[in-house]
Amino acid sequence: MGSEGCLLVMVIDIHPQLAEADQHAHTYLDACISFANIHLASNVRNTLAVIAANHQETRFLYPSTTEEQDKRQKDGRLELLGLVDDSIERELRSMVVDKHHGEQTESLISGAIGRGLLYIKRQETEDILSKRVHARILVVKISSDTGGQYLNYINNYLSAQKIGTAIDVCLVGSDCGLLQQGADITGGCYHCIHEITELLQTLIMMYQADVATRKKLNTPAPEAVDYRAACFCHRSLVDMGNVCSNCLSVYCKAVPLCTTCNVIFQTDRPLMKIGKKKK
Amino acid sequence: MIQEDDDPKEYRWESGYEKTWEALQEDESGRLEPSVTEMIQRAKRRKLLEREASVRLGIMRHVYLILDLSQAMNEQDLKPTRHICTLKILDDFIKEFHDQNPISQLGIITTQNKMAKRHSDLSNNPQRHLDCIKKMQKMPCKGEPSLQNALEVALSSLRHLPPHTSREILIIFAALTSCDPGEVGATLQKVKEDNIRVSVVGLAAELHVCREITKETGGSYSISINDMHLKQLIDEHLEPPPASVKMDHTLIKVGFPHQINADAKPALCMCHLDDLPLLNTQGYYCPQCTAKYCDLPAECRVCGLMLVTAPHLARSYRHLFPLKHYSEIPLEESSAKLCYGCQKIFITGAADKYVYKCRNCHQVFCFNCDIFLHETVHSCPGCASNPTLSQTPSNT
Repeated sequence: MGSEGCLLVMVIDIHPQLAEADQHAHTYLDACISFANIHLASNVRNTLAVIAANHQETRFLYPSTTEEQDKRQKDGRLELLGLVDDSIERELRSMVVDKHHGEQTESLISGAIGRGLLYIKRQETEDILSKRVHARILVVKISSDTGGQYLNYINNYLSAQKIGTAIDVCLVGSDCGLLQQGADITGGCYHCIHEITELLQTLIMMYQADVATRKKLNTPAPEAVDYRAACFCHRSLVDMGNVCSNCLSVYCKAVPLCTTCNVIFQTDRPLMKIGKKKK
Repeated sequence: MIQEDDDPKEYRWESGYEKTWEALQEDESGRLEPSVTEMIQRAKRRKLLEREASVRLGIMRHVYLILDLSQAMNEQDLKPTRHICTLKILDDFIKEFHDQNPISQLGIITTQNKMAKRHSDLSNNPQRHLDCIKKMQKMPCKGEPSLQNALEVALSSLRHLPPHTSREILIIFAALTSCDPGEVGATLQKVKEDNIRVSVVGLAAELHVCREITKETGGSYSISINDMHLKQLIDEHLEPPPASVKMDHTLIKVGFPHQINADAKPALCMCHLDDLPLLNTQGYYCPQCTAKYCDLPAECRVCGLMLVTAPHLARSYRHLFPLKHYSEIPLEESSAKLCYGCQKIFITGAADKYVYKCRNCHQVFCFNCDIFLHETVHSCPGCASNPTLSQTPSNT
């Protein structure tokens, strides 16, 4: 680990799904907070930001926006760590309490990543010595995804790639192709675990080292990333598709009219043949 | 620089005397800095505002770069010479072009000694063009350029392209003369008929013939004043131009290749066959003919299928669904205490005199975040953090 220290932006998923099983929420949040503490304690220069996302909103848990801090040391711990714990707990509580029950859709992870990127960008411009901030984003996610935020995700990945920030992804439960693409594009690390009790161990073993150190570790080989696109008509993944030349919508069959941008296609004969063959 | 081009009809030397220093004003404590920061911010933002356009774009671009390598390129008004300086700028341009237009193709033509020569064919592989640019640094600049010959060479390959593509020519012209075998007007007519858009960036002075060509074909014509300005002018061509009316729309067949697993058999990739690479196991298979490629996007050499990945297509979506501009409001009128994105606390003073509010989600951002979001990210984290707005693309 370099002596410069690094900025870790944790994006944690607080979907109500978490409360379905007993003890899950407890183990999960414990693991996240412990990992945040480990990051801060392992190097004096390390900095941290924690952003939570549920299906209603995204919120900065640390550094907290509501400033009411009691900086006294308790039970002999480092003040900073106590501060982090307090701040996260307070914000989380208000976030969970003032939720008005709506539809339980997917968590707004892409918004949280976007805010994280802006936070990193600001730290970079504000650094007086104008050193490069070694920043990375860690996404911990438990809920499933529907792909409704696709464009937001991709925009975030491409900008993260541009400013040289890796996005690490740790999933609990099921795989998510979209986040896997993000880790692959930005040079981060992707891993999916099945039991929530493994979370803390996995975080420490695989995600604690910074990107430069990670090359020297013997981590599990990355799986092949699925870069297929979903067609706009049936939302199924296709190997070969037809793309509208105006708006780049993907269709699995030849269609006479683009439903996205309403242009009528010049139906040449060869194109019709392809369409018929496929049927 | 900040206040230029307000009225394009009038030349700079024809207008009245400008007192540029009067725009600067001292604040109460006698400092100039706040005034200067404000001006810089305004200039940056204005550049962004100009860009708003959601007309149909020619996303599938086929661009020929015509580079003048005549005697005039040896001039030393750009340091070290026009030749080296331009090639350096083009080097960045090519990288950026392929980054921002992943399904577009680029080709390079040079003109010198009254002749024109094609140096690299249209392709979407940046490496070939970069090698070509590198070679050109050692080429001597001699003789006179020929506009007509260069246009004919570009025309011969652009005219056979399918009708749904956007055909463009970008000429970088240093000389004040052109030595043509015939009437350049005849070529211009052909260029116009084939629906090719010609833009010219001049290094010396405005030429009537170039003005005529760009006006007829709907391109832009600009003259650089120094190296920074030249870079800016060339980079303006990174954004796809509006689609011309005559352009047809078709469905294009593309393939989304699979990544090869580590346990696959070692094989040669099709893209580097000429340089005899080592056998390796990494790469992508063409879904139609299972030829292997080490990098995407590519056009399959065997079956001609266009191979892309889903993020490549998505990269172009930002041209089609640009992020709407935020509205600028004075800090006192906004209720927000801090920037929604970077958590910066607003201070009543220089940098935060104005804050920027998204029109959809009504979140407030600081100046730096506004610029970063519109220049790089192209999606609003406020809208993405809103359960109703995030499901429908906020910026359509």
